[in-house]
Amino acid sequence: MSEAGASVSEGPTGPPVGDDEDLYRCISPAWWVADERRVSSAAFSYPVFSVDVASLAGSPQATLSRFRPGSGIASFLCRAARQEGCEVHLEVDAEYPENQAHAHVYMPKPNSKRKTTARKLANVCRVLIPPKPAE
Amino acid sequence: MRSPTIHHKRRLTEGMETDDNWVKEGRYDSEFVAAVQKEIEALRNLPPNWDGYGAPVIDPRFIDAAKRFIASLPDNLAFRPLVVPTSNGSLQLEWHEGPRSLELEFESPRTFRFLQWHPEEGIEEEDTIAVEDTERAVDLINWFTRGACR
Repeated sequence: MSEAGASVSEGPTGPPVGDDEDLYRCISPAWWVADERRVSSAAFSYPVFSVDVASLAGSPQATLSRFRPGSGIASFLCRAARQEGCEVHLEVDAEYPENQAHAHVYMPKPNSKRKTTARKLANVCRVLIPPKPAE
Repeated sequence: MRSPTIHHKRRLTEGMETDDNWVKEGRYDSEFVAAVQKEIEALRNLPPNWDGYGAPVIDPRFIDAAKRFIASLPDNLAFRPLVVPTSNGSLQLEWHEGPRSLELEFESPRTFRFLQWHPEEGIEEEDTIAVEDTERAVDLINWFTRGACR
């Protein structure tokens, strides 16, 4: 689940994920704006970030089980990411190679619209399991 | 993280009716700097891998730069921003209301990447500016607050 481990320069190497697949992204409590029930764009604002393909993960709970207590799960359609210029590829997570559902979302290049794209993904995602900020 | 706001002109002196007795429309928040700096300072407590995706701790240089930036802003400029950590060890300040939002993400201790966002008005602008360019930052925050109604 290391995003630092995903090399932007190497680019995608795995097979593309289908447009109709839902993608799960773990949402840290630090990215959850509870008052407004929205996810911060910071959850998506990276050149490459990790997701689970929902049909392979099985359930949001299955994905969530690998993360810290209090984390949540947001979902968005692969097609929505692709419409924003992202590429989504099924690729091994070096830290959790047993996770067959893992994929990388590659933000469009050049990187001049990274924040705009992240904001759009934050807008379209659905929060399936809200994070629970520490008391 | 709501802050006290005043949306109308505020009288300073009872019994005096000239325009000089009114302060500029703004968001009076005597705790603005201290409160936002406290939120920023709290990011030092995030452990490694706080996001579950291998994030490093927040770089102290970003924390210090953000605190200096907040202290450099004029009084009563805006309500308090949300302080959000990013997975690359940085942080961003977010003002958000309805379809309008402004994000200032520290790319380095000396620059931030901003996002002006109001798709209903066709505004989706992002760029990099110097943290020391307070005038530009104030322009951006003023853009946001002109449309915000808290």
